[in-house]
Amino acid sequence: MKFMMYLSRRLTMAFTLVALGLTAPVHNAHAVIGTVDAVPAATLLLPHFEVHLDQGITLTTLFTVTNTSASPVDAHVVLWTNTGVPTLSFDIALVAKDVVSINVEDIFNGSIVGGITLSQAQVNALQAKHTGQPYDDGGGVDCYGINFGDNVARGYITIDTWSGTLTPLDAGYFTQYPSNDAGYFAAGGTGKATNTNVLWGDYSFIDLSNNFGQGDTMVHIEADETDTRLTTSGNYTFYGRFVGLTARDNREPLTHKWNIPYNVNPDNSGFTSIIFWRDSAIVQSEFPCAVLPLPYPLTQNSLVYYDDDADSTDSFSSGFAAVPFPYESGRVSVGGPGLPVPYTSGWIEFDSRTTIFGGAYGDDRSQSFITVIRGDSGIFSSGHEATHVESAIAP
Amino acid sequence: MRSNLGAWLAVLMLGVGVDATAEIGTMDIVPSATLLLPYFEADAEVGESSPLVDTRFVVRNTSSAPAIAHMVFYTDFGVPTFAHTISLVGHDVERFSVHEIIATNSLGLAEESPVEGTPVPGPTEVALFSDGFETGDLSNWSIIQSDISIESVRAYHSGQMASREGNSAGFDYGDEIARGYVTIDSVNEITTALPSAAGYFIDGGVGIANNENILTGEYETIDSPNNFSDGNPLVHIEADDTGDTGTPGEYTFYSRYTAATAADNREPLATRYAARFVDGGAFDGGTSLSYWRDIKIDQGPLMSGSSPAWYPLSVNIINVYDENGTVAGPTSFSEPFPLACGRVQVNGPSLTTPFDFGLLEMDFNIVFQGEFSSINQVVVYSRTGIAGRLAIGNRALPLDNALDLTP
Repeated sequence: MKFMMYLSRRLTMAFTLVALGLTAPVHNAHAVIGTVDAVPAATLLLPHFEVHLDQGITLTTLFTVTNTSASPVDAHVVLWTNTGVPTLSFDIALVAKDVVSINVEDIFNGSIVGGITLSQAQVNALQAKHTGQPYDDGGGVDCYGINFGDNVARGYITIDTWSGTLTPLDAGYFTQYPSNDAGYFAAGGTGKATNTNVLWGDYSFIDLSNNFGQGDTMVHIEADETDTRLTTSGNYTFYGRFVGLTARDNREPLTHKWNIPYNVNPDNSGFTSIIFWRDSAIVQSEFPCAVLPLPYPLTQNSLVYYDDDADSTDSFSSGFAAVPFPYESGRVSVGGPGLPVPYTSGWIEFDSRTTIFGGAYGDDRSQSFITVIRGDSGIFSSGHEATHVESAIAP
Repeated sequence: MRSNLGAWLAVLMLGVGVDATAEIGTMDIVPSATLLLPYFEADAEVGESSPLVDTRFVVRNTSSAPAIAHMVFYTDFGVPTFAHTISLVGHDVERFSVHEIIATNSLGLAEESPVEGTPVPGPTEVALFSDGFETGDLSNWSIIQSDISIESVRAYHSGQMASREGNSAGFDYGDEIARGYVTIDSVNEITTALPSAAGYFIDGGVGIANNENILTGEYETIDSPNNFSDGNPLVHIEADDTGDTGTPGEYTFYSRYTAATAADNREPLATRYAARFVDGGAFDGGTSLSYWRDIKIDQGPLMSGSSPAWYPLSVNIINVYDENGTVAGPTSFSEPFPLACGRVQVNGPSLTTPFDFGLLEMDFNIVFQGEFSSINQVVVYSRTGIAGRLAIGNRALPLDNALDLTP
């Protein structure tokens, strides 16, 4: 199959590039801490992935990691379920100006970049955890994510620049997470994760059944050990919940307030779905399947709807009270049961701040990321980042 | 809007919010004083109710106060054709289809209605509009007026001669597709002035344009023959009258109209980009790059059939890399980014590479005309498709910002 041949080829895509010669003065991309801009970064976030595990259905997520520097760098990939439980890690060795493309479906079939393969037991575990199925990992039967009953694996992915030395043959190689490794982050990028802002990436959803494809840049999270906003203990950083709010990850946090455009016109089948990622403030581990663990469902500070004529109402006043973004990552259809709306066209102002009982921050700090997927006429669709209104970085 | 008292109290008590504004010198998606639709394509044919090709965009006022947005259309020669002012109440939204504007005249631009039996008027002849204005000797008629005829707009944007003016303003692809770009500025008053007009920009946002970073928007393209659609945020350009963008002599977005005084206070864009391309396997629709470039001058219409003196725009370097690390230049290279805006197919006639898959690194900093002659801001987006099925749009990676380069 040509599509799979292409994806297979892309898996082996690793090449050395020669630095671009310039006649103008050479400068790196302008890095600005505290705004979500697509510039080379120390951490990439793929905010949500979906992979249909049934044979014959091509619904998958592709992503690409690029090393923009002229020096080699290692990247450390971690898969998380939609409730924030880490399930798998592996490394990518990137030579100078290297590009590696990965089909997430291949990971769930046991094929990791660089020719690494997972055992069948690992594949079974990965598939069960990301589809919300009960799974016994040795400590009893538990769940790791939300079960939507559709055999679609869901979750999100983080990618950090890396100096760890374990190989696939070493114990613990596949389970190196920010949540279980005290040496993962150390101030100044001296832990296993480094502060080298060189990674760039993009991702795309491919749904061949519906002929839909949408792409966007990954979330680029810069590190800076010289900016006191990212070095002062108590300040909010991207991995704050995993470093005890010490800011030793030195990563900029994201945004907590968004403007999200939408239209849901039944006459021309217009639709909008929202891809979201949220910080639950909890270091989540597996949980009993019968009970949704706290803090889920995640609520929000405010959800205000505006129509095209600037009429507005909030979710409480309108009677459309909703918790549309209840997990760490996911997709919600605007106008559907998860996000009923009072207007067929307009925009939503979403403030993700919410105080999490037992959370790592002790207040309502809660970063998030939003991408909008829109379609029309049952044929066309496109995806793009929503507008950031307010950064979660410390003043 | 009824407020959520608890939520507001929480905000006031914690006070941890930081406005996502005025992060100057990076292309982030935050409310801005200027929006740029970097390139549009739309059927220019009159009466086409279901366009095969269209570009739709949205402009939104994120503030609770009323705002005025001033929209200017430009051809791919960089010629401004008409302006349209949008009055936005607080949190207002306006949606536009370029096809509806140009083909079906949804903005209500004047229509030419020559007196029966008279020849089509030339630039010095009398024209009579249906509503009676713009009569007389047209030799001094100015495109600065927002009352340009819709027929001229169609002609200008599709590279044809505008019969009323007797000149043209865009590249002629011979396909009746309107092309160009759009700028949208936050302004202090309803106006027909163009950004090149005296007093349009005054330092501090006290001219016609202001520095209110309140606008946001996005766009999507529709290409029915290929079953392609892709979308992106508009380019968000923040204004700040402090720092670099408040310093005369620094490169700003509208430098070409402000004589390098930085009076527009708008941040410039990047000058170097990287973009991946795919031209085979499942993605048999290949990759095309759409672009916007700074032509550095205030370009006016031209004698029909002629091109601007600066055409074609060149680039400094394009490096192509394949998946095995081989670096090369394009095997066929005939100025792939020659206009103020456009679309180029990777491995098409003007940008043929030796590879089916790989990466392009592009440096646009040629020595060129106008202010900051060796620094050239650009926007590049990519679209990769599976022919007849789907397309994926993305932003190319900016590798710098024009503010970082020494003027």
